[in-house]
Amino acid sequence: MEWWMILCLIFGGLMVLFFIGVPVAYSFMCINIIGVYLLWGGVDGINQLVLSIYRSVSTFSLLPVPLFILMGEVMFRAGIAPNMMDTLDKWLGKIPGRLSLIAVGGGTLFATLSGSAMAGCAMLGSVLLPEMRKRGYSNTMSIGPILSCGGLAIMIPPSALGVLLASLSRISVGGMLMAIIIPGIIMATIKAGYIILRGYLQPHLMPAYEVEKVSLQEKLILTLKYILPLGMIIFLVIGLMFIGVATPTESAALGALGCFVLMFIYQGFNRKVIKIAQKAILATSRITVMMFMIMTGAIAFSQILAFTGASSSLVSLAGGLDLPPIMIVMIMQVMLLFLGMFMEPLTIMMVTLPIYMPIVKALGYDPLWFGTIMLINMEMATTTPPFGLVLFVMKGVAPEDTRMQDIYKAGLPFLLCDAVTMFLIMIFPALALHLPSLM
Amino acid sequence: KTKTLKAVSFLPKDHPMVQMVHVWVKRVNDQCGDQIKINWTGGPEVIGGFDQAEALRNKVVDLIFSPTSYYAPLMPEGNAFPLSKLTMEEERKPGGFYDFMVERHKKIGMMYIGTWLYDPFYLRIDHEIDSLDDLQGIKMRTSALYDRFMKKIGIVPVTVQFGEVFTALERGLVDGFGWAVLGPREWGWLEKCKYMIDIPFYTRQNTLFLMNLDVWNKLEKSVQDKIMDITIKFEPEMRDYFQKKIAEEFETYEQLGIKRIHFSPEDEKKFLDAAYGAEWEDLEKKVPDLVPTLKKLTGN
Amino acid sequence: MVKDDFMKRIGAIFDKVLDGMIFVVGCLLIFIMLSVCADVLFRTFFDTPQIWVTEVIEVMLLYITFLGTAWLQREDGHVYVEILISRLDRATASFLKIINSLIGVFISSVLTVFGTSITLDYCHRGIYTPTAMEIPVCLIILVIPLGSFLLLGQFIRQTAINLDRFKKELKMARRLKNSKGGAPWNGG
Ligand code: NA
Ligand code: NA
Repeated sequence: MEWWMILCLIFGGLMVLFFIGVPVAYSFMCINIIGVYLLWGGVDGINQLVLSIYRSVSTFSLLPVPLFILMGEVMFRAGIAPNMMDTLDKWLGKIPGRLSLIAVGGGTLFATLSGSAMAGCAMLGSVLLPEMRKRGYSNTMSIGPILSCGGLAIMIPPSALGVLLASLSRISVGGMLMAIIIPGIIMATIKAGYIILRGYLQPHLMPAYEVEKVSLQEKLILTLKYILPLGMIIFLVIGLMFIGVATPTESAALGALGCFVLMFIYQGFNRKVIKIAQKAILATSRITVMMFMIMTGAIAFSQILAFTGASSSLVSLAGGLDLPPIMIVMIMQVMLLFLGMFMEPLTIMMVTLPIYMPIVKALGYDPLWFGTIMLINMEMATTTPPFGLVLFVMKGVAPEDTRMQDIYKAGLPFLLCDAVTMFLIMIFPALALHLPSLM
Repeated sequence: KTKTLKAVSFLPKDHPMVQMVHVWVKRVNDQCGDQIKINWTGGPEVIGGFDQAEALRNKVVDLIFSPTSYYAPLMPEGNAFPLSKLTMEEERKPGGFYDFMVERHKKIGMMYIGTWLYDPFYLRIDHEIDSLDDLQGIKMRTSALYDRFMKKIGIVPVTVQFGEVFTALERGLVDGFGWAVLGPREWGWLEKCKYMIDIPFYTRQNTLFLMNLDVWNKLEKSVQDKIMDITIKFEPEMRDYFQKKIAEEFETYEQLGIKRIHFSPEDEKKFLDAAYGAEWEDLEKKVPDLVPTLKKLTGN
Repeated sequence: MVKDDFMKRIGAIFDKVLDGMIFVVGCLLIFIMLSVCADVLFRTFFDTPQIWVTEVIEVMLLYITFLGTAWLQREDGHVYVEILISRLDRATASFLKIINSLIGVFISSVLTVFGTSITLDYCHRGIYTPTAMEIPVCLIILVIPLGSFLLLGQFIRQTAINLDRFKKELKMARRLKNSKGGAPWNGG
């Protein structure tokens, strides 16, 4: 059989399983079992598959994933985020769109503590949305920023998805975490800029209102109390890595421990806090097992693609195309965007990375640069209609009368902001590559 | 009719260390083309390095290019390869180390055909030292191959993932590392580690051509002989190629300002005794019956 | 009735086992966090890195995955693409759910059977990891058949539940059809 026929069978089979609703993890496993049975010599192949399952998740580079998720869960549940948002609120005076801007700022701050977009969106939604309603904010400028800024958690370290992408592409986890910092900040800036512009052009979307005057002293005290300690967490996650006390992987554990310590400092050590910790750990276990179970198929799936010669044939095909390399990268991104409408990021990465990364390397691009662009695309996938986990989280926290269409519509302008960021990184690779080069 | 043999290597096909494997594969294909054709499907992206020996035994592939340390659990005596002090020609004398290892490999269903890499190990460090005592308490990136040795001379071995070695060196998490000559410069590991302890150890690499035993036995005698013939001529050529590469690498070192550290003769002897002694002690634990024979056959 | 009672008790015990497993997963997570921090601490201040930490954690990541998967299946926590399923009528959707849980039965039995055989084989041959710690491989991969066996139990239970639901849906659909039979607005 030709390689492209096998490729069609593999992807066709996978899509059928996906669409009849087999969990993604078991869809990969099913294809892998059939694949190794046919390609690796029957029953012995399946024994080999058991070993590949073991290798897929039993790797130290995946360690930050549960720990980054744990950080977000602890911070979200310990009620640290609302105080943080409140402080931010005190600093902003009477300006149009202040609540939307708080969503951007809070999303960025929370992103430095949390590695998961879902926790980010849930936190912003539950804290800000009721207030926005009360102040007469339109859907576009309330649901939109919250939906979108939850996603900043992916683009600013710690980032669980960033670690998974690095691990699946076999590139440096530390490098990946450094590469996304500047793009993440740019993304937040563009979103804030958009809100200000919109507020200037259409003030009725975000009516301004009187805010009580707060003394500078109070502002500073609040900042000292609720914003500064976040610096400690950032130091644990990024700083320790820079001064050479811990490797990027290890710093995740220190960050997670730091979050627990912070929780105990704010809330004391009592029964209620233990309950919160238990809930955070349970939620983390849930997401971790879900992600890792998908990852168990990772090695076998990419090896099957390599074994059939499909990967190398596609690489030479892409190399032989009469197109400028950047066009090929763009075509790849458009395909990702399309997949992102229906699937969640980890699944897309599992399906595409075994094919994309060899092509990217063959075209002579830096995998870190491509990984950064792809991560922005994956961040978008969480909010592109019709399917996206963050969209569903939003539906959960939004008022009863909010229709799914309203949420879709509110997210669109911010998706454009993401796309602009993506273009900027494509045109100026240094935005992604400069920080890793300093490491 | 031509039989296709599927092969995998523990390093990617474009890695500088497997460059001579291309030569060997081409020669076998050119000279035995009517009988067998080797299809080198790729490296660890096809089957993970640690699983390749198992895949060979299960006939998922027919041929692997793998270091013995990767399947040490199947055959602990494979760790004697780096300890050999003989040339590959000497090892191939009848009744010698080669014949002995062929028999040992047959017990685990593999045919040991030959060796494809020559590249001795060195310890690198980020500051000047001048005696063995200075190594006490130094933190170095470890791997299974020299973990025991490092502990024996008082180095503190630290586990660092391959992808994080650069950062770990840059940030001073470790003060040095052990590696063969080729590779570290390209990965940027020497930017912070400008000193090399000029005592090569484990000079005989343990990376072998291995075929599934059944597949080997089913080949015609003439083909087997042909492959052996090719390999015996290949090995010295391969060593010359890498010695030239290593010499070129050392020339680049001069330009980069990499300095060589020399120990006193007593310290150098202690260093080497520790390197080899640590491994012999381990073999003594795992395969005590074989150790006297292994020592005799490897010139120790 | 007696049989039903018996099945209920088995189900309750099974649930207890799954809950226990996820408790272990949580403990492993905390242990991982603390051991890495301890390693960094010991290395930085006492020059004594804990070599075992990396390797033991790698094993634990596999344990977390397979100890938790059956529990997660019960909680319906594995992601799936719901685009098609959510658009189908209820009878067809519940029929697909039977197929899905049967696929699950297939996968988990393959992993249980082959996982067990390779674990026993590795145990018998005494294979260990080619790393500093030299951990017996069978102790590591043991969790794959163990977790898959629990998953098999969960999928069998789910198949039974889905089969039951499907029957009810069919009955309901038939009743609906009979009551509406011949009505001009039928088929809307
Ligand atoms: Na983040
Ligand atoms: Na989407």
